Amino acid sequence: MNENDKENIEIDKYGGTFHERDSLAENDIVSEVKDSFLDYSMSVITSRAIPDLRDGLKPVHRRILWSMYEEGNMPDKPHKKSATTVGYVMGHYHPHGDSSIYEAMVRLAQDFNQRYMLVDGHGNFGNIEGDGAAAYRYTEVRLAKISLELLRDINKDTVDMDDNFDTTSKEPKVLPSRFPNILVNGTMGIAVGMATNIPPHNLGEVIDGCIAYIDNPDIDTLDLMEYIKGPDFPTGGIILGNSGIRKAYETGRGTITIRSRAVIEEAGTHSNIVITEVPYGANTMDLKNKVAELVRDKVIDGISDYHTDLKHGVKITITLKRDANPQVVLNNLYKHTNFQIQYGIIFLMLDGQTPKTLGLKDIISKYIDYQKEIIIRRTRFDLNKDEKRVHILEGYKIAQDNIDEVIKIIKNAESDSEAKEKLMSRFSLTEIQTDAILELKLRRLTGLERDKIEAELNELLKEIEELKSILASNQKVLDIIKKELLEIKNKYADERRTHIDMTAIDYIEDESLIPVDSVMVTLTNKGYIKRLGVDNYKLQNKGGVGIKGMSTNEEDFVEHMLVATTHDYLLFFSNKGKVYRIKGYEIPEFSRQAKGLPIINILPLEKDEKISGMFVISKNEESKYLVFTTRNGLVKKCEISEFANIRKTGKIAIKLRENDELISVMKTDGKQFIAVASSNGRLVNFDENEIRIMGRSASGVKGIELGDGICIDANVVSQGKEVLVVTENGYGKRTSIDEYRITHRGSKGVKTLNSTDKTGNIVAFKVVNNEEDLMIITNSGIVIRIPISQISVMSRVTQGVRLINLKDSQKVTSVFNIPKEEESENIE
Amino acid sequence: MLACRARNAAKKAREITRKSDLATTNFFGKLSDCKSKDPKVSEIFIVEGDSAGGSAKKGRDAMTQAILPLKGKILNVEKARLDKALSNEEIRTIITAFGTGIGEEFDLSKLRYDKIIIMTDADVDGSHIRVLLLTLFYRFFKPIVENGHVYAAQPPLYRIMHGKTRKYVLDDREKDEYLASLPENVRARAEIARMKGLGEMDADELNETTMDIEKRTLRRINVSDCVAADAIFEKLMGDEVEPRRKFIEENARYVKNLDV
Repeated sequence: MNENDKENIEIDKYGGTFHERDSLAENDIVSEVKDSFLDYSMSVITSRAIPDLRDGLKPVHRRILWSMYEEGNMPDKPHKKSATTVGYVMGHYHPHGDSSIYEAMVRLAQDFNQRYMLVDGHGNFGNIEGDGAAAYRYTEVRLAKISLELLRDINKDTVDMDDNFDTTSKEPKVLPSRFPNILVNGTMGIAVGMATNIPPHNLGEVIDGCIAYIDNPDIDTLDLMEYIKGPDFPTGGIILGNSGIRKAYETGRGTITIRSRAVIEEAGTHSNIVITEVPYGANTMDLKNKVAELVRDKVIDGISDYHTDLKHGVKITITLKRDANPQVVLNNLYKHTNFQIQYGIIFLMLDGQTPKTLGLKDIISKYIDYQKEIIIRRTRFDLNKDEKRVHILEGYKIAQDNIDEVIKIIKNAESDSEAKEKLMSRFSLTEIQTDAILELKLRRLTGLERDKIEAELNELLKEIEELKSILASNQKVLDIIKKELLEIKNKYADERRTHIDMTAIDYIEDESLIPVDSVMVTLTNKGYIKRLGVDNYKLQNKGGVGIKGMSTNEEDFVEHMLVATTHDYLLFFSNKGKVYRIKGYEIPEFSRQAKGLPIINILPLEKDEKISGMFVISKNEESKYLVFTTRNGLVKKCEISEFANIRKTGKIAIKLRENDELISVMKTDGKQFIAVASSNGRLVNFDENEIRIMGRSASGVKGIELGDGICIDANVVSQGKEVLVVTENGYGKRTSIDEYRITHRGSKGVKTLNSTDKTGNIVAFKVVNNEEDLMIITNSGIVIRIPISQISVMSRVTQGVRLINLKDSQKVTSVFNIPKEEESENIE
Repeated sequence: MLACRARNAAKKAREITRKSDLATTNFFGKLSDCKSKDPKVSEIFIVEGDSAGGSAKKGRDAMTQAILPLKGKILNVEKARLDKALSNEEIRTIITAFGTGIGEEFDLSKLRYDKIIIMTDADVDGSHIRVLLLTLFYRFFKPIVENGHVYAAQPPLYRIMHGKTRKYVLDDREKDEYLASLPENVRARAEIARMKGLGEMDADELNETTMDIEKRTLRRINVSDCVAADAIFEKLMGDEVEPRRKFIEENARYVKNLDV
């Protein structure tokens, strides 16, 4: 018989009856698919991907916490191997893959994922760079302290328990969750046909919000937002504006923009962008790769190096090329990479078994309802326990009162059950009482013990009364919730990490939400800008401003300063002839002592571009004109209204010829005299109306005939004022302006200093008063401060006196007059 | 672009079909074919997961029963483009195993098995895989489905243990009947476990409860209304989320088996 025949015979065995031997059920494909799909999707929704409103947990997380609790893997015990917990969870409650359980647990222990970590991990739990945790045979875990608040009271019949999959043990359907974990830790999950994305919040804020709701159940979302400002991510970052937050809190859905915390730092010849916080969920390795890709594809220009340091939180240093504009690079990074992300909030959660998208108030109100249930169930449990104990104590008392007879009955009884029956009938005790009496130790019969029983009984009766009153009063229940929430707040609440930037104008519904505050804006010689709140400075009668504490830095000092409101427009004119406009609130607020922020963080300044004038344009501006002066001696006059539509990105304020720069900008009212000085010691003093009014981009007209000198500065002068000049070799003097006759625009002017080889050329021309100090800066970087009152007043054509001793190669490069430092005034 | 992609995909499909004629093991991937080459008596079990694949291979009747284990969830062909579907390893294996080819070159007479049996775990992921497979069959091998060649295996839902007895029952009705047949004291101590996966049974048990032609109950998948079938696949497996969400909302209360 060959192989083939054998096979045929075997097949014959099945014969023609092959099909008939199957017992068949039938189903239509439509109902088959419908039912199967429904089973799957509803299961994923209700018991996999979507968290429960009440405890904010998905089943896998709940099972992990419950298992650790059951195992006794507590915060005060040593860590246990992760494998133990994973095995326990899988074997008892969660019949799914080990990796999915371990991954879920790892997430709970990662400080960049979880705002308040529920699991305390030991070992390598991965990092924000995307490196995973070590395998579960290496790492160790135990419950985090705060998880005990999720589990608290669970043994007091506060929640329903369910059989596990093989009915060998019980698991909670939901945890008591004594703080609103759904909001505090948030969660993310993709189910079928729906997804959830609940951002984490600050524990303290959320609890305050809950309490505000308890105190006033009619509170609206906006009022709740007084307490709960917005999401608070473990990774910090900056949320731009609050309109997306408000929409999410009102409707359950909204989109917010999260931006990295970045600062531009000057590092010698180039700038660095230093990023210390990245948006939630951003992976720093992906960020780096993306930036590398953008640099390679020339989408972003100007980056020369990139370095990530994770040692103390995230620190990414992006080194820029010398000619790069840091502000432009940073904006490009925001635009093209996850250094800025859109985060879609979806408050989807299970309310009962139904997935619902809820607003903030609904979530809080339902959570508080749940907590009421917890407190009521707990109180009932305690009451029941107390009543049982009272019952037994009452039995003891009867036994104590009749102790001799009790002993006699027991002694005379044949058996245990006989003693029991006799005791029960003699003293009309219940079975429970009698059992307890029979279990009594002899030592409990002493007189002292009797008092103890009495005391315990009284104590319990009082407690029972209290418990009953709780059950009878909704207000008492709410008071308990409040008290216990506050306890948790005091124990675990911390500072908000994510900053909500209410000045991000594109992201706030209404500018009027920003308070109108009076502020002082300062810009230092080295280009650091900041604003100070009204509380931090003090206007003086003299018109000067006390600036003690602001000029502590020896190498730097405040060069420009103005007082404005947060809603005023500020104009910044640069030496390159450009103008930028921002609102007061766009300048970051700093403390009095702080240096401020490099202005390149706010304005897109180019390399070597410096601010030469800063003005506030208030709503009822009195001045009408701006007068510009350039290095080449040109002057130009413009109406201020020409600058009504300038943006942050900047526009041309004056068209400069090659090698020229803008050196001065003045506000005038059309009735002023202007003085322009040149390096070779001449000064023109003319009526401002000799300059005709021109358009924004015009170049201007000749202001002074320079000869072989350059223009030094221009100032508005008026009768009686003093003019100060300083030369490159450190000579200077004050002269009354009245000594200078009025000439015409474009003339050579009159001599203001007898310029000799000894004095050198004029480098500075200022209009000063006695209340000011003079800052003299040399080419070697030395800054010297002298009170102007110490500088001699001399006549026009003199050499001046030596203000500063300079070594051979040293020259004075620039001079600034600034308000006097207030030494005597006690500001605090 | 689209036309080009379709052309390439069709070409690829032809290549796969041609290769199937060569019928070498390499092209069958993980398929353990049956010994018989007679389509009339051959059947193929498409099994979820490698773990159940092992016991199915041990428990099968190697003469007539072929086993094809799938790893995890297969691609949703309703959403994926044709070229992507055809470059998917598991879908290629299935196409090769069936022998019919797809698309224009489909030939029912070349079907290598009389019964195509989907054998997934009795849990919700099993349900999902069943839906994914039915989508694949309905979209790529419609005549196979229409002619009643596709079946769902019905593994037991519960295991009832008492003393040394292990009894597997198909559904709640059978469970109750069986329990009622037990003496009172045994019933009280009976341990009832909801089956989670085929891998919980050993090879003999799997064979006896689910695969043995004499003892099993198969569920044949019929197509009575092509239009309705088309619509349901599009709605539940298609690109658009909204109709799916609506379906879930409207039908949530009809759900039969919820996983815990």
